[in-house]
Amino acid sequence: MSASVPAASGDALNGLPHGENDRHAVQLYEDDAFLVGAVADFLVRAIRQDEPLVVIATREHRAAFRERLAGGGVHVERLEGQGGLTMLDAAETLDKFMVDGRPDRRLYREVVGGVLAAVASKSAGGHFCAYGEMVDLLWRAGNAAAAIALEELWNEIGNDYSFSLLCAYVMDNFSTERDAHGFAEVCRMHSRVVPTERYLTLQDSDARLREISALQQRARALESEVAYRKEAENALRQAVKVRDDFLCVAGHELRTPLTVLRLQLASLLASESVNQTPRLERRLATLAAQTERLSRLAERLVDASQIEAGLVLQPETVDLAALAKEGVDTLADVAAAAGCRVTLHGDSSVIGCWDPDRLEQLVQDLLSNAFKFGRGTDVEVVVKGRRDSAELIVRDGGPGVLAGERERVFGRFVRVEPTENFGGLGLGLWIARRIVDAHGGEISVGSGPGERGATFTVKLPYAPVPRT
Amino acid sequence: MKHDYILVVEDDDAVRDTVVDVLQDAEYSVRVARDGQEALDILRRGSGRPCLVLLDLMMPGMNGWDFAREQAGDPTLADIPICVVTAVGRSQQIPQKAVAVVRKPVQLKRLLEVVRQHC
Repeated sequence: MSASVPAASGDALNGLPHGENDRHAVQLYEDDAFLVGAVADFLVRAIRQDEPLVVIATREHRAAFRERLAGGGVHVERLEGQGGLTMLDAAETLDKFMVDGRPDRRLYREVVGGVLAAVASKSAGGHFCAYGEMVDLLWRAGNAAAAIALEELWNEIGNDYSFSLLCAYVMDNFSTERDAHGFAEVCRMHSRVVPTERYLTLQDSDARLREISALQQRARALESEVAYRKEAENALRQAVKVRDDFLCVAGHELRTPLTVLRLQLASLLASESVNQTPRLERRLATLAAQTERLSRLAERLVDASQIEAGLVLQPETVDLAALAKEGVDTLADVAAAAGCRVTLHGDSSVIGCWDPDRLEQLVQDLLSNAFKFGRGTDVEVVVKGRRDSAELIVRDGGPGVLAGERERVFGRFVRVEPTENFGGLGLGLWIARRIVDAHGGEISVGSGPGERGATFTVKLPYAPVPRT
Repeated sequence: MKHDYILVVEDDDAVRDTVVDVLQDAEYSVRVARDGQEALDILRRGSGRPCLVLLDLMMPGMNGWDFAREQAGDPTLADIPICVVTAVGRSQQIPQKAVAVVRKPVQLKRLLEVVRQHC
């Protein structure tokens, strides 16, 4: 082959392959333009030495290499026609020997071996040069194992042919601490590792030593930072586990004596002898009411700990309208005690695929909230089946939620009202939101008609949509 | 007194005694066991047959899950209905063959509803 060959551009410096160490070199890079220059220099050197070339690269890079070579006076088409330059698409070539996400050795030797054999036959001295980007494509696709396997195959086939191989990886592939091992493997696979342009552009050997020292310091600082953060993360994880374990045990332990209190008080209140003693009945009723309150608090605590550990839904076909009615009926006594008149409107049946226990809890939490804060007011419950979602609205006539608190009110242990005015742990709405989120829905609060009271609106897709 | 009996399987003395009290108030005949093994012994050796087993899950010795597995695997006992009475969270598995679950702290009305359905 003959071609007018330009002088090396000087973009890539001493790192370019030459000699035994260049059997399998890797160019690390940050900027695409630098890579194009470095590879063009590699190609030019081979052309000058009359060594045939094979380039397996992306379409964009192949076009850029052709332009650089042509700009330097190389008759690219003539060179390709003479067999001095073979250009192949990296993704298409990769596809020919990848099986189940791994390079198949037999197919690789057939495909790539075939190409190399053809290129080798054009070489008078038997030596040729190759540049490849398939490993980088694999790494970018998150398939580091396949990239390493392909590097091994390149090294193996290097025993069958005499050629200098240059491959390239963008440095972004190795941008996290988790990539350290993979990066070390990549370096191990190559006879020569050429650092990125950030180092190569330093002309002065003293400047390079300073840069290396600065890099070492930065690496040491990063390692310390990572170690510190890992320790902090472990300590936090441990603290969270201790808290969650405590909440779980505390909740379980609370439920046992509460069972005794609830059953004994209910049984006594149902007995005729107590019914005939109004004063005793009233005092037992007070005890029963406080036991219920304690039960609700215990339930909230236990639920919060379990939801924190991970909310697992058990969806089935549920009628939201029927569930809402059931919730209203179950809490009829609580509504009466709060002086709230409850009305239920909307569609008579709204069917979807939801977790019935969790939705029952959601309905009861919203109703309890309405009775607590809308004491003495009307509470309205509306259930509607819209086109894309089911809607549940609970509206009370209480003080409402200030506009600035409408997001915060769903926080855990958050109470936006004065603690001396209302009891509770600040968990009910947090639990409600977690249940709605787990179903892929939305919950929000606004004001009621005439800007009075609070209106909680829940929108649920008809089947749970997992959040990523 | 109604026919058959209800078997209450519960390790906590106060809970067990209270459940017995309320069932007897409602005129049910009751036998008790402190854990799953004692319950199996009563079922296999005792006379009569329970109309319902009220089964706690977390018990020392043989727990409720193991009892349910043994009972389901014994053809002479497998058809006895079990109602789980438990304080475990919703994320914990309930024995598949349970006919009902009553969560602690137990509501009297709910407990009696389940009992009436089977006894």
